[in-house]
Amino acid sequence: MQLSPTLKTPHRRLGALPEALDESSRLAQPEDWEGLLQSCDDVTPFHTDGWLEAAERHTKSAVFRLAMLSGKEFVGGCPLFLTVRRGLALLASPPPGASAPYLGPIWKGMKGLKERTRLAHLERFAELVDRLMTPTKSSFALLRLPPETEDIRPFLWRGFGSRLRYTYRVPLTPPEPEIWESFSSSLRRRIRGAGRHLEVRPGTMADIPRLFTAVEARFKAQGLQTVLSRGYLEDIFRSRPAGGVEILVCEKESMPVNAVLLLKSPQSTYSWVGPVRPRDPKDGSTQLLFWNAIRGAKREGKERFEIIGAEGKKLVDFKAQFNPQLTRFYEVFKGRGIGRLAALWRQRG
Amino acid sequence: MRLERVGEKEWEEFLSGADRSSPFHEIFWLRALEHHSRLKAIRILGYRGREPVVGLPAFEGRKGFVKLFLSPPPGYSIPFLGPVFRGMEGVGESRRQGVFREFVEALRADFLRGYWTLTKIDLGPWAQDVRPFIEGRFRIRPRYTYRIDLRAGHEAAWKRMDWYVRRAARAAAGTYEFRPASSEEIGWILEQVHERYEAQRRGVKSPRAYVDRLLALAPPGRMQAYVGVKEGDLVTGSLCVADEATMYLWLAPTKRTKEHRHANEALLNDLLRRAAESGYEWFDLVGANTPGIAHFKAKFNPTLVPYASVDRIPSPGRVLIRMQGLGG
Repeated sequence: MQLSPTLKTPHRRLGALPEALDESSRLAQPEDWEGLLQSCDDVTPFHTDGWLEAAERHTKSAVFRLAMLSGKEFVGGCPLFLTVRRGLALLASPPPGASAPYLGPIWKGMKGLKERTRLAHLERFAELVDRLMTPTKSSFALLRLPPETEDIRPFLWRGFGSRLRYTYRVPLTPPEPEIWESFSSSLRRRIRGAGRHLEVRPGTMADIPRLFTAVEARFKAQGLQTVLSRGYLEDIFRSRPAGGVEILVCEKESMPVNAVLLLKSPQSTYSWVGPVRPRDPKDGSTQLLFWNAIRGAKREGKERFEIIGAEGKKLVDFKAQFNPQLTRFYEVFKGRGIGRLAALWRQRG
Repeated sequence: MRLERVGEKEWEEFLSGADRSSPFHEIFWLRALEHHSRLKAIRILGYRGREPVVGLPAFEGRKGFVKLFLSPPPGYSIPFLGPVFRGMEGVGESRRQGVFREFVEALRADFLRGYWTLTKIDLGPWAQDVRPFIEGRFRIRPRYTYRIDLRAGHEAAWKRMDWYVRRAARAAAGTYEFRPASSEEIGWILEQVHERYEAQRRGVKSPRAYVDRLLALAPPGRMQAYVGVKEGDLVTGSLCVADEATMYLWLAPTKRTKEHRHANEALLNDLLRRAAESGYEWFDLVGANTPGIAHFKAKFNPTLVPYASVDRIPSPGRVLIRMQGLGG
């Protein structure tokens, strides 16, 4: 048994990932990870060291950076977390409680590969994850794969269950006026109206407590509990995952009324936390914040703006006004022993 | 949204203006399925105001106390059926998702009520939003097919293929003759395909009578069969179906033999060439869900196209599924 130094208490149920699994995979050191990321496509902020370490601390898990090889050549990587939840040893990406929409593997040059090679890489990855349940003593494996890894057949062939999930992406290739015109007319009216009495400014660390309080209150009003903590948000903001993090604050007569925390990758900006439903639901602050964030992403040359999460009727009706592209991603999972019950439960949704 | 059962004429009219559909949605195919499945074919249109915007062909029936609502009925080699849309391409996401949600809600209220209703719908690749079914507690199963882009011609597709396929095709040149199949040869193709399915323990029917009915009912050019012949002996073959833009590799490949182990690759390359020369834009390899088949088809370097199957099966119905081979 090996213990992760980051876990406060040892857990007898946890194993560990071996250093070298076989000739096609190994564990990457943190100092090598960022270099590997630079060679990959479609890296998200959640794959960066800053975010992985913050997530590890705040979810009481241990992160391992899996590097996949073909011969000696690096072909992709995947952060994997070991943790315990409700008595089950869990192998996950992302870890529960991290509030990441997805994580899973990132690949080098996958789009240019022939289908047979691409499929072989995915089969190898699925086999690795399946095999890793043994040395890690995991009862349950749960991966939320990024939209770019939509081929989950190798997991299905190995007996994994799956759930289909959705997010929204606003393409930023068209000129800004065309993006604006693609929004619903009611949305454009609301943004114009909001712009007459609200202002948007860049936020700082000092704005995080207010944002967190608003998010917490919003969850509470719906009878839910947020997995976020103020410390987690501050950690993320402080660590500035490579690519950036930004807060936008909406004010009325110099008083904050709403805010959003954005994460950025080279290709995308993500609305990660917020905006929340404001005290005056008709003030248009949410819409104005999104529009400012979209314009900022366009100016920075991003390919898309992601409005994370496209499930839940009320929210999707609101988000769909931005005329985003509906984007699919998959969750795959497998249980062993007692974990089979968890897998059955998860399949039933 | 108002849903109505419509006749064949209204269905054909709707289909003629649909954004995307398939040969499996056409009247001739629905008639053949109705006859052989012994279920009742229904054609549902969803109206917004006076205009139909969504159409769904389905098959209703009963097995004991379980009511069936299937699109398509399983076991007839239909890769997908499900809804088709009209006037939805180019509209905003807000409208598109609203229309589909309204349709599914109306479908559930009007056609899918009751615990003992067994529903299974295999949605086409153009119906990517299954959220209304997720919200309705349907089980969602990911499915995949492969498509080859022929818009730049066969030569471009050839260059993208694996070396293995190109070598097989070169070796086949002068060894095999590939040509349209006769009626008798279609029977041989079916026997070979059925033997392969049995070896793979797949519960697929597609009996000769069903295929003959399709051949008799199909408009000209919809059903196309080809064989590969060596020294007078049939070696490989396939039965394809086509609409205006796409040719589908419907029943194929036949069993691989040691003596002619490259024949299937060579036949498929010949089909691609014919399809490109005939002006088809896409060649759908129909199915990429089982490992062996997926590996074979991957050699042609196709594009993976995801779609989904949704179902809601009452628990005792799962026993019925297995007993009656309705799993599909």
